[in-house]
Amino acid sequence: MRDRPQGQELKDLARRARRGDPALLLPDDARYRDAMVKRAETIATRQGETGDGPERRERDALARLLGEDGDLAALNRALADAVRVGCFDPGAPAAAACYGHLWETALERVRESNPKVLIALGLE
Amino acid sequence: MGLTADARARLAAYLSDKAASAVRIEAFDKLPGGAIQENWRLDLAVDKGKWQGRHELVLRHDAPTAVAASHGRVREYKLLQAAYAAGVAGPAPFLACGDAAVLGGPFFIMQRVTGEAAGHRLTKRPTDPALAARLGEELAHIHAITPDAPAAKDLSFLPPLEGAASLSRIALYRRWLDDLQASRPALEWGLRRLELTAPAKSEIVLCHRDFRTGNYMVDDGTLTGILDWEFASWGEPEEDIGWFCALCWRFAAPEREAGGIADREPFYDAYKKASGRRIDAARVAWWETMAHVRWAVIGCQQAERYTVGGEQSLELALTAHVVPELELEVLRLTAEAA
Repeated sequence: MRDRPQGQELKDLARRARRGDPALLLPDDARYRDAMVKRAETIATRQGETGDGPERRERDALARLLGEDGDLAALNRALADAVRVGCFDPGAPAAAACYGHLWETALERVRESNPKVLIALGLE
Repeated sequence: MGLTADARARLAAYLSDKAASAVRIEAFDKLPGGAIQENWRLDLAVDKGKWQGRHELVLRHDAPTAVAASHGRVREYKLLQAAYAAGVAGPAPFLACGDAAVLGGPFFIMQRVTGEAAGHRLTKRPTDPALAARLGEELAHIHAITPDAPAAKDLSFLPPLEGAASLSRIALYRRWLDDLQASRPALEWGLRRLELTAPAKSEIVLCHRDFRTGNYMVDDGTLTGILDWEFASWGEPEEDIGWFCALCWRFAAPEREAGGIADREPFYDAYKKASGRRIDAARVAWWETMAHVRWAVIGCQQAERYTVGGEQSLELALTAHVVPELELEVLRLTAEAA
């Protein structure tokens, strides 16, 4: 599930930073500040390009893994609870499927937030 | 809290009272950085008495966005005092004040050490095994402070560590996860795998718990001070070693496993020589995985200060987008346990 702030909210933050909104706390260092603004804009752009596909795929995969339906937040809560109590411990029938789902979800999110990491790790 | 001209006048009066002498504030400017604490350059001239002379100092107090896990400033000062007394590299402690009437909240003052601390810049310099060795020695000095050591006499506010540090931290980070708005299945996965492989209890020492590149100062290649004691607590040595070596704190040089500045060997060798301890690679690896979990949970907390708490900070807001790569690393490090 995408983290907030996302999409338009990120664009709004970047716009406020660029116009020097005094209500928005910004880093003192100008280069660092500019890099953060650019980052907010870039993440928003990537999210706009991918649309809601990643979250739909995540929800569908969760429903299959858990064998239940619900919205994305509720399914993620159910998975987190199940992982904590050991339902996906090593040797459990769905342990590998759970790991695969978490891995694919994390990849999707890093593609939006910082795809350079994937290149550095040799994953893409 | 912002520091106004009134605050500056109150500070001068407070320091004059403590010094039993006229104290002139010759410079008082906010230093860059500090999402959790604010640091101010403070130059003083003292006419007579115990502080007679000029002093180049740093005043440290809470930023508008403090975190719950951070010690208060008076306690952080006591930790700095304990470390300094144990021979850890500066800054020398100067004074702590718990009276909110002076600056609106507690603060402390320490000697100003010079140099560069920024991780992204330090890790772009040539590899520096001598600096890594020096940091290994410094960490050994910190870990020489045990609960019954003389240097710990003023640290009774630190809660005792019950049982293994590994299980204690897992329980703590689960509580933190429970307080978040959104669930984090990848971090739950990491914590469960860590729970199943948790190392047994070992020696209890003072852990800095933020000992990493970015939190020490280097001037012309020489270490001038270990900074930021706000998260220190009793723990086990490998927690600090794992935090220092974790991939997430290597900045621009991920291939240099000792904090992005050198290979592990000089850091480990100096630590072992100065501490007399061996380093268990498996325990360090466990704590490196935990380092990514911990930083990810803190990142979620930081982001919620924007999304839930309404604190209007671009830096806090964007911390949410550091979390995915930390979660990916947690999954990568726990792949064999899948």
